[in-house]
Amino acid sequence: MLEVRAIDTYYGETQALFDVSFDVGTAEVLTLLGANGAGKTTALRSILGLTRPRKGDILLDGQSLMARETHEIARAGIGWVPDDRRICPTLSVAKNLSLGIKRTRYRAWSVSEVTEIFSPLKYLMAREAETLSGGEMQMVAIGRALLGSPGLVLFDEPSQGLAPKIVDDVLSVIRRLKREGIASIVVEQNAEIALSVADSVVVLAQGTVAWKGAAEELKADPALKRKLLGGAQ
Amino acid sequence: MSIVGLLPHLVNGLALGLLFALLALGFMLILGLMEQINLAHGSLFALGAYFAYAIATPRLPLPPDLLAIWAAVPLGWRFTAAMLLAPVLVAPFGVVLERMMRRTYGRDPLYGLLLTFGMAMVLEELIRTVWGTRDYMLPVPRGISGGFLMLDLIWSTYRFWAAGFAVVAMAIVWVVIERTRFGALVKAGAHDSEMVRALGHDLEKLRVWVFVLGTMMAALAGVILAPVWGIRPHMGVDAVVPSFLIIVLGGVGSFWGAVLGGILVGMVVGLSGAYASEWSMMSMYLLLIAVVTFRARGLFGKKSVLEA
Ligand SMILES: Nc1ncnc2c1ncn2[C@@H]1O[C@H](COP(=O)(O)OP(=O)(O)OP(=O)(O)O)[C@@H](O)[C@H]1O
Ligand SMILES: [Mg+2]
Repeated sequence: MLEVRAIDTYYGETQALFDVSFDVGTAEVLTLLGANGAGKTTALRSILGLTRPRKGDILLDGQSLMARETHEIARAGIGWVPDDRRICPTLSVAKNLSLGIKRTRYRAWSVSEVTEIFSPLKYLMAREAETLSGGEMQMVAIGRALLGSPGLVLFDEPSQGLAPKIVDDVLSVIRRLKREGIASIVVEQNAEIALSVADSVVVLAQGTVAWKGAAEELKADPALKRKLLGGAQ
Repeated sequence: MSIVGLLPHLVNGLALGLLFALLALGFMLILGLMEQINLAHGSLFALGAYFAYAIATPRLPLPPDLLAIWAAVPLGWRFTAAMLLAPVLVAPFGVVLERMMRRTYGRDPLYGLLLTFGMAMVLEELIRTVWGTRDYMLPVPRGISGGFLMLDLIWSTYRFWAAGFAVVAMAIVWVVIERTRFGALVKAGAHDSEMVRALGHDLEKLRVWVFVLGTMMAALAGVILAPVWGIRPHMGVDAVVPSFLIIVLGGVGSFWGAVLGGILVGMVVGLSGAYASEWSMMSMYLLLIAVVTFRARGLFGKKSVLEA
């Protein structure tokens, strides 16, 4: 479904990604792991066309995204749940959600389906987004991405700062998406959380791909895991 | 002068303030989404006044027979047509201006200031070339012109109408901003344009529409204010100063801040006009200098100085 082919991405003159390649299949969950500053967020920004790669190619269902504007890439079916959620604080929850609504060639989600997944949203619709808790903001951010009918959702550190119960909810949404045929890229600091949903893994180090393979492989090899992800894991 | 004697000046100040608020709201919408200060905003206001003059008097480049027919139409209709059509005719100027400003987006605000300052000069010269340097007066239909006596004071009828027109126009803007998806998109875009793009919205298109809306608001304010202020090439500069001042006072992104700031500035101009009419414009410039010197946060901190 998504092919990232040998991209180089820069911020000004500083290169952040070096020859990065990976594929995501239909309904596949890929987790992107790596230390702070490894280039995980940059990889997602490259896919969205927010920070354009200078070299390489990115294809969605065989079509290159490189020459397309960000809004066209979104309309092609890529959803984004950014690490800082980026909800408009001066708008109500309902309006924030409504700004995400669009049709693509992938499965469409209704507002009631979203509130079924995140039931607290039902009672928060009229609230100014400014007053939401971190967990509630994450629900709005994910709900907003779903309403955009994505075929692939990019999650940037979805567990960051959330209570374990909400992290579980987020993980079950990712599993649900998989069942519905929707792929995800999950950027995580917490490898345990990521590996519990991932099919495949890409480990970035200083902007390059240090390892990629099946999640099972990494889970089965504690020595490799330690080597790639450091002693903290 | 007695306190009661000031009342008509207060009404004048209020009418002026509401029109300033309409002008400033357009200025603010553009500032919010483009993150550039449009110093040519006043020139769009001036064009609105000149176009209204051309439509209402009528001085249009039309075949003589057609012009004669239009001239025979009662002034009330011509004035109404001027109010509705002038903003539409000025809108393309806004589209061109936005097109030229595109290269400044995401850059230092200085680029936008320089570019729009240059555009303000160009538009003022254009006005001088087409209409000359003399002053014009936009005629007001009899039903809403003249004055009346109340509390032994003379009140200008049109000032009340001007205030009413401004309130109606601002109410429409309020509905658009607060009650439509377009309005939500404008707010979200001003807050975080990257996220709005990533949700699938065409930011370039949105910017053009916001510029058109802001341009039409400026032009409409120009039409309504023309019978009060008169029409002259320099009016664009006179109008951009209160817009700037109001945004500094009311804060970027605050509808009611703009309305309150507008009324405040209008009152200052109106009341100083009561004592010394030649000082009414000067008072505005002095207020601007005072506010920018002591409280520049309204403009740059995205927060109202009135709340501080
Ligand atoms: N806007 C920017 N301008 C310049 N350099 C940037 C910018 N954003 C990121 N970088 C640099 O690019 C590199 C990769 O950053 P990126 O944000 O992709 O890392 P990350 O893996 O997401 O890290 P984290 O875990 O901290 O979120 C880092 O060296 C970072 O300093
Ligand atoms: Mg990151």
